[in-house]
Amino acid sequence: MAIAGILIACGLTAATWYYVTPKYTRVGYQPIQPVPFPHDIHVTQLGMDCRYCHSFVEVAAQSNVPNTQTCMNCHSQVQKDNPKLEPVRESWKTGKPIEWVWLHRTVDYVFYNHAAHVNRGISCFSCHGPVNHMATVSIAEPHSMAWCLECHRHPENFLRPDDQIFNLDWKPDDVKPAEFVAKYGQPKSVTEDWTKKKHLTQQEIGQTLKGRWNIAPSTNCQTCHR
Amino acid sequence: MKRVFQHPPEPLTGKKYWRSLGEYSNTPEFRQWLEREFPAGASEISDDEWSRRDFMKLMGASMALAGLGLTSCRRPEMHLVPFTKSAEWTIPGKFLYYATAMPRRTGAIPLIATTVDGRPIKLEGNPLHPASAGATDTFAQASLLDLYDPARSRRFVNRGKDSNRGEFDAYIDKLRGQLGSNGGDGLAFLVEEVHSPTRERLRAELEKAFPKMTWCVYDAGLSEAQNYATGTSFGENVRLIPRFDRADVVLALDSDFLDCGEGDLASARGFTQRRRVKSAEDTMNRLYVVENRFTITGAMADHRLRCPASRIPAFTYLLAGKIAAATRDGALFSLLSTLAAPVDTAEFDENWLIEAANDLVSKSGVSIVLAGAHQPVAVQLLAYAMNFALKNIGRTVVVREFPRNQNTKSILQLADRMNRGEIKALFIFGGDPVYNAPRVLAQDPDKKTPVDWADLQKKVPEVVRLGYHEDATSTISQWHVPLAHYLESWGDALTPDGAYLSIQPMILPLFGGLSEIEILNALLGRPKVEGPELVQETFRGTKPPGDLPTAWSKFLRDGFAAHVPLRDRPVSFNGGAAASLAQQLWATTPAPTSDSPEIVFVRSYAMDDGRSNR
Repeated sequence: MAIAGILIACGLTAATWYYVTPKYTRVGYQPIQPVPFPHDIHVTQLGMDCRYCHSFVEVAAQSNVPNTQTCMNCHSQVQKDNPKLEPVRESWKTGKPIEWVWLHRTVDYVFYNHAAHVNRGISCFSCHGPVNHMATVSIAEPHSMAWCLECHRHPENFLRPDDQIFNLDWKPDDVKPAEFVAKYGQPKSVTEDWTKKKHLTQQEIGQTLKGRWNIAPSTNCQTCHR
Repeated sequence: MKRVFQHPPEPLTGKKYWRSLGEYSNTPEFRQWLEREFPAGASEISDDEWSRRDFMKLMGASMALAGLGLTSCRRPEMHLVPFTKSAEWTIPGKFLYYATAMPRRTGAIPLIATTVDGRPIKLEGNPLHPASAGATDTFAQASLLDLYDPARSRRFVNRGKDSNRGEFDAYIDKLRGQLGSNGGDGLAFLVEEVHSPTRERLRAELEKAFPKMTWCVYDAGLSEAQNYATGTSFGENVRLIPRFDRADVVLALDSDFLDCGEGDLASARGFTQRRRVKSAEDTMNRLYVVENRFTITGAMADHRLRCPASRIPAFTYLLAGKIAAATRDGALFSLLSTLAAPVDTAEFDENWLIEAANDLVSKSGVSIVLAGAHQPVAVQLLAYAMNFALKNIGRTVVVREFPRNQNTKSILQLADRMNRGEIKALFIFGGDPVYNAPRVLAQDPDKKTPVDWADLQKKVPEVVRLGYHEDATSTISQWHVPLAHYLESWGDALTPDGAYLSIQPMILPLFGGLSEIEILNALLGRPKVEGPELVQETFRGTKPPGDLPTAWSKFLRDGFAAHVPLRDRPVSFNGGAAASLAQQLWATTPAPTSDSPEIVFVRSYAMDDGRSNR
């Protein structure tokens, strides 16, 4: 009797641990948007920068979704009869805004600031995944507190050079060590000469940048829970 | 289990009281009927298997479990809704600050408005300008909520029916044609005091186009006594500005100058500046207050004397006598000699008078004697004469040039013309004369009965009321036009000491309201303005240095025009004119008694003259 009870309890715990945590419940959420806006066409194919639409990501806590005027900048001429863009044209004509479905939502007691991250070496990719290859945006990362702390405790696993923030296809292998060391140097504690290396790992890149930019992300409750 | 209630056991002694005839008869059938909760024939859940309580417990648990189920575990779908066209310069979640001004009764307060997403959410004083000292008062703070008042007027009303801007514009055009034919005879305006140079400029142009028009300024909180006294003593088109920051001793006669409700924040800040003692050598100023009620100024006073408002003239006479004796000033002596001495002055504290007078005289040139705006002209004149004797004029009391159009009529004069049927088209800007006009304005020519404003207004065939609320005045007007809030309009204003401020809108009129200058512009037959053209025209007239676009941008950015000079008149007191006027208007009354009490109407700290009681 007792053994069955213990087994059931263990089973329930395991099931909850797997199924009822953000990694399962949130990742993969891919709602249907009022306009089927394809990031892959606009970013990868056309080469638009994230900041053309999400214009305040470097200055404000919220990164904004674009207003209808931003869409109409091009679509008043490009694809101007495409039926998929009808809600955009309708919005522009009537003045009623487009209601995008909200994906990346933190709870109300968490306060996240985009500008604080984007200006300090964290790319869109780290939190939002490969948006530039998504035809419909889906949630790629769980955005749970444990997940935030993974980076806050070890930022060197996620930092990248500041001109690569908006390059969502960047990999640590893309970095040429000689150029990197010329621009950013290498950590003082490292004796090996990195200019001679073939590749740098993410940790090596991250460690350099963390030291150079004095990155010390707070794990104090007040930081995010105000 | 079902509980069976027992009636309270019968008392062993004392009278037994029955509550129904059945209880009185106490038959076995009655007792059984009492115990049974539902009448015979009703189906009941019997006691042993299931009670109502158990049923409720089961249903409650089921509902809770249903809630925990699939539907409420899903994340609710929420939306991100951007603008279609964003307000310019706005960043979501960040504030934008613009300078503007709030027009008030005696002058305007310079403000900084905090806007977010294109909507103003907070007002603070403009620290760049000394007239507000970076502060606001209660009415300025509350005026932001006025903008979002759900009860504010949203529609054009023409003779009780909904109308629109197009019809109103057509109406004004037609009216203009009719009025132009006889030089504007029959055109009248009833407006409030807003100290707007643009409105004055447009008024002057209207007076050129319609020479016979009547322009009346009425505000229940304003008193003409000070203007009259100032004009006689110091000449026309001046205003006396007290400089509390330069005063060591202040004596206030029924003057609540620390109450900023009239818009004069600089006085309060100037006064409190002199109270601040930072080192051992600093001296504080001293405040003497003579008043009839509890006021903010009285609460700050170092020495306060309680005195009925109607006895202030008598008190002032005695004080002036003491000052005249000490300073030996000729003008003050001659003014006092024309006045009859008041009777029964034993009620006044002689010591208080002596000490106050001595203090004022010893601080000659750095003292101020103030008479409250609602005190009669004679008291104002005595106060001016005392200030002159104490050599305060030009130092702590500055004679500032403040142009006033002398063609302004009073509401009594307008009422007279309305009574005789001479007014054919009346424009009421703001205000609410049905509510706050003086009660008896004229006499009915035939019936010889008193008439009030509502009757007079009904004699005017065309009344256009520009109002913030649809109130009693709007109901009897032919047209009601929604007034735009000052946070929605272009305009300009003067501070109490004459500095030139800009008013710029934070948001387009929420309900298509109009501002006063737009209507005056339409009456002049000029094309409709969408933006600041009218104010820019006035600004151009002030001859700003450098190129106009830069100067205009600076004007809007700072909230005031630094290049507009504040001119002071040289010190000269017309003692003779003051004396003769005082002699004509001098009157003292005996002290109030319970049989003949004194009734004083004052401005409310919370509701102003009643306008904030919507």
